[in-house]
Amino acid sequence: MSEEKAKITRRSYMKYVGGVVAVAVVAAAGYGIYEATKPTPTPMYTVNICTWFGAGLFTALIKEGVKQPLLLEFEKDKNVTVALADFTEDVVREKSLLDATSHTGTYDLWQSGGEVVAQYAVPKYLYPIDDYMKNYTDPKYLDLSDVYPKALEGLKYDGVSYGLPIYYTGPGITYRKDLFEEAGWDRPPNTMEELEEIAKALTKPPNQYGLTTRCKAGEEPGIDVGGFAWAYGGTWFEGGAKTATEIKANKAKPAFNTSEFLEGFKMFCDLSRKYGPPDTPNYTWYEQAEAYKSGLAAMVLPGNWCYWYLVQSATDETIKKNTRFAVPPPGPVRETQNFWSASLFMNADSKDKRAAWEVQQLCAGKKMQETMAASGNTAVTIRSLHRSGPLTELYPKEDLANIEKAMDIADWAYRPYFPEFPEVEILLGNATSAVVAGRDAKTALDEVQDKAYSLMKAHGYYD
Amino acid sequence: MSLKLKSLITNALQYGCLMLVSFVALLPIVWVVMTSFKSDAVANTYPPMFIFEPTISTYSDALTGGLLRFFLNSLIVAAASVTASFAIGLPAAYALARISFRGNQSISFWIISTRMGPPFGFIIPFYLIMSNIHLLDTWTALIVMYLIFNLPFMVWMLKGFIQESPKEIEESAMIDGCSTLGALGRVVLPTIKPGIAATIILSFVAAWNEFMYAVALTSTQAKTLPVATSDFSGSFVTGLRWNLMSVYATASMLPVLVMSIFVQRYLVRGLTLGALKG
Amino acid sequence: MNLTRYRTALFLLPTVATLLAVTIYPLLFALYASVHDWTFYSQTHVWPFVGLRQYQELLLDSDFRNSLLVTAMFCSGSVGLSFFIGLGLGLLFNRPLRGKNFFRTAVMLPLFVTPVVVGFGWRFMLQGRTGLITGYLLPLIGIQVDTVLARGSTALLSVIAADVWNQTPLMFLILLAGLSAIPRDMYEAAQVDGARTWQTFRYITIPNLRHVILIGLFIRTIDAFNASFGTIFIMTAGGPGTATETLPMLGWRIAFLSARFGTASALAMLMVLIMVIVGNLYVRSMR
Repeated sequence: MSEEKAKITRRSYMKYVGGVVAVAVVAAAGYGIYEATKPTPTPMYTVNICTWFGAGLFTALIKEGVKQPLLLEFEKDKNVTVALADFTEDVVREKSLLDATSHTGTYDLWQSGGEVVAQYAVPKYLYPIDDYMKNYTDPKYLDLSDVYPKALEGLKYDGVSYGLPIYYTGPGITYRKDLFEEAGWDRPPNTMEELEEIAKALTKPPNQYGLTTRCKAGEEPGIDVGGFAWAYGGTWFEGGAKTATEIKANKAKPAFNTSEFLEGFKMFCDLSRKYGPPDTPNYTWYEQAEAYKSGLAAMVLPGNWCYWYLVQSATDETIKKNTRFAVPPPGPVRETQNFWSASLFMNADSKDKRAAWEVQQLCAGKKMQETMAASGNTAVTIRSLHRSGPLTELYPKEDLANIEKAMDIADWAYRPYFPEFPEVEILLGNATSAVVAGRDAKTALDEVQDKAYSLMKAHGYYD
Repeated sequence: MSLKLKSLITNALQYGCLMLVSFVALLPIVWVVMTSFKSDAVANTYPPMFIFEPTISTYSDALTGGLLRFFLNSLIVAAASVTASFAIGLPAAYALARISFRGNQSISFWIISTRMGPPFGFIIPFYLIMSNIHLLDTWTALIVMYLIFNLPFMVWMLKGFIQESPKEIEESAMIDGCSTLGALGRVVLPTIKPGIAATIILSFVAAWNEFMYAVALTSTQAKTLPVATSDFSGSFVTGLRWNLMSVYATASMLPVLVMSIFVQRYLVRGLTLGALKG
Repeated sequence: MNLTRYRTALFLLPTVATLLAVTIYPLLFALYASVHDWTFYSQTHVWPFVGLRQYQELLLDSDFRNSLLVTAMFCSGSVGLSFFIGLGLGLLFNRPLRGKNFFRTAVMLPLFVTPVVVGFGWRFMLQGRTGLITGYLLPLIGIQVDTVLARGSTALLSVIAADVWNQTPLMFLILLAGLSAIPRDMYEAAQVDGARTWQTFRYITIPNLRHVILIGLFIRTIDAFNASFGTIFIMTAGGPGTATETLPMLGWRIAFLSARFGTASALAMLMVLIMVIVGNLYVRSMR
C-alpha cells in the first residue's frame, strides 16, 4: 500500500517538475523567437550615448525615435551607428556611476554637466581627448577655433581635456523690457544697487514680483549663489584654489564663512526672498521659467540659459516680444559669475574610442549646433553662430552681442573642480534654500563651512 | 430622535463620506486621464482648464515614440515573474501551511524578510551580477529581480489561504488515493481560487509599478513603463509635457485598472479567506 | 524510493533555493562593502578595510539622525492615517450599501497608480498658485496658501498625504476582508442584548479584527519604510533641505550623489536590521 502511495507521490512530483519545465521551455522558445525576429544589429560599431538631454538637444540627431538627415549622413560618412539612451538627470547620474565603477563599457559617451569632469577624471574613468583634438579633428564637422575658449577650458582637469561642450551658458539676466520701461528704466541695471532698486520697484505682490531665482534644496542654488559670492570676492576655498590638486597642494581650507562670501551669499538670498515669489525655496529651473512665462516675475537670473528658452516657449505674446537679455551687474570686486555646459565625455572603457570621438565632434561641431540654433537655442558653443546665421533672424542683435559678451566672461573657476564637488554643492544649495526660507545666513554658512571642512578632511586633503 | 430620522442621518453620513472619499480618490486619476487628451497648448495653462477640445494627437505621438514597446516590456516582465513565483511558491506555501516541522516558523519569517532589503543598497551587486552574465537590459534580469519580492509575498499569502481551507477535504481525497500534490492541485486550489486571484493581482501590480531596479537594470531595450514615464520629469526644451506624461500615466494605469474591475469581487472575497491569519 | 519522507524538503526546495541564490550574493556583497571604504573615487579594487568605522560615522551623523526622525514621522503618519481611514471605510462598507461596486472600485483605484505618477501628480497639484489644489480648490473654500512644498512641515504633510492616497486602499481591502469575516450572528446577539454601536464596536469588532489589523499594519509599515521611495523622490527629492529625507532617500543620496557605496551599504544593513526587529515584533504579536 505504501509502495503504491510512494509511486504516486513520485509520479506527481515528476508531473509538477515536468509542468514547470514545460512552461520554462515554452518561455524560452518564445524568447528565442523574439530574439530571432529582432532587427539584426548592424555590423558597424554602435556608439551609445547616455544622456538626459535627448528631447532638448539631440533632436538634431534623433527626433522622437527617427534619425535625422544630419545623423544619417554622418553615419554613412564615418561608418558608425549612433544610439541614444535618454533618461532623467538623476537616472543618468546613477547609470553613469554604475557603468563607470563596474567598467562594463555599456555607454561610450556620457553626457553631463561639465563640472562632473572632476568626479570622473580623478579615478580615471574618462579618456583624455587632447590627442584626438590635435590630430583627428575633422574640419567638416568641428572647427576648434570657432568654439568659445572658456567652454573648452571648463572641460579640462589639471590641464588635460576630457570633453567637448555641446551646450554652453554663462551669466545673464533675462528681463521684461516693457515692465522695466513702465517703472521708468530704459536700460538694464549696471550695479547691484540698481538691481535691487529695479527688483523692488517691480515687486507688487501677489501678482508680480521683481525677479525669480531657483532655490529648491539640492544643488541648483549652489550653481547660482556661488556666482554672487564670487562677485563680492568670495571663493569656495582659501586663495581661490580651484582644483583638487591646488586644494591639496596649498592645503586650502573651505572659505564659505568669510565676510566676502557671506556678503555675496546674503545678497543673493535677500534678493530671492524679498523680491521673488513666495514659493521660491521650492523652485527649480522649471518653476523659475514658468513664473516668468506666466508674468509672475519680471526678471530671471543669474544664468543665460533661460533667455532663448523663455522666448521660444512663452505663449503670451507680450512676454515673448518684450523679453531682453543683459549681462548681470558686477559686484564690488568682480563680475557676477555663472557657468554651465553640457558636455560629452568619453568612457575610458569604451570599446571603440575613435568612433566615440567622431560622434563627440559631430555634436560639438557647427553642423549640429546650427540645427540647434535654427530652433532658437542660443546656448550654442560656436561663436560664429551668435554673429550670423539662424539666430540673427530670431533675436535682436543687441541681445546676441550681450550673449557673446557673457560667454566670454563666464569662468568655471567660481565653482571648483574636485571629486567631492557635488556633495559640497548640495551643502551650499541646501543652505541657500533654508536661508531664503528664513534661516539666518551666518549660521547656515557656518554649518556649510563645518561640514565641508570635515568632508575634505575625511578625504585626506589636509594630511 | 425617532428611529427613522436617525437611520436617515446615518445613511446620509454614510453616503456623504463615501462620496467624499471617492472624489478624493478619483480626482487625480480623472485629472490625469483628462490631461492625456489635451493638446500641447492646452495642457500647460494656468489656471488648469476643465473644458477643452479633446485630441488624440498626444497618444499618436506617444505610440510613435515607443509607448507600445515599454508597455509590452512591463507586461511580459510582470506576467512572467508572477507566474514563476506562483509555480515556485505554491508547494512551499503548502508545506509551510500543512506540515509541521522544526523550523517552520523561522523559515516563514526568513522568507518574508528577504523582501525587506532597501533597493539602493542592493542595486550595485545586482547590477554587477547582471552585467557579468550579460543580462543587462533584458527581460530575464527584471523577472529574476521581481521574483525576489513576489515570491515571499506569494508564499506568505498562499500559506495563509491554505491554512484556512478545511483540512478534511484534502485528507479524504488522499485516503481515496490522491497523492499530496494531486490533492493540492485538485482539491485545495479550487477552494482558494479567490485568494489566488487576489494575490496574483497584488503581485502583478507590485511588479508592474516597480521603479528602482527597473531603472538600474534596463537601458533602452527592456525599459518598463514606470521608467519611461519618469523620463518626462525635465525635458528641457519642451518643458514638462504634462499631456504626454499623462498618456504614459494612463497607459500605466490601464491594464491594472481593467483587471481590477473584473476581479474586484475576488479581491475582497479572496482576502476574506483568511490569508490574514498569517 | 519513498519520496514522501523528503516531501517537505522537496516542496520547499524551489522557493528556498531561488531566494537563497538570488539574495545571498547581494547580501554578502553589501555586508562586505559596508566595512570597506568604497567610494567612487577609489581606484578599482583598492578598498581599504575600515571595520565598523562607517557604521559609527553614520550613527553619529546628524543627517542620519534627522533621517531617522523623518522616517519615523512619515511612517507613523502614513500608516496611522491609512489605518484610520481604511478602518472607517471598511466599517462604511460593512453596512448595507447601494452602488457598492462603484464605490469600491473608486476607492481602490489609487492603489494601482504608479508611484512615479503619484509623485508627479501630487507635486503638480500642490504647486503654489498654479496647482490644482493650492491654486484652485483651496481658495474655493477660502484657504490661501502661498507655498506647500517649500516649507519643511507642510512638505512632509504633503508627502504623507500622497502616500496615504496611494496606499490606503490596500489597508481598506485587508480590513474589509477581516470585517466581512466576522460572523453576523455575533452582531445579532449583541443587538438582542441591547448593546449600543460603540459597545458593539469595542467588544465585538475590534477583538475579532485584531489579527487582521496587525497584518495590515505590518504590510503597510514595510511599504512605508521601503517602498515609498518613488513617491517621495519625485515629489520633493528629500527637500526642502532634508525635511522629507527618509532613510531610503538618504541612502540613495549617499550611494549615487556622494558616490560613497561603502557607507550606503552600511546604511542598507542598518535598515535591514531595523526592519527585521520591527517585523519580529509584529510576528510575535500576531501569535
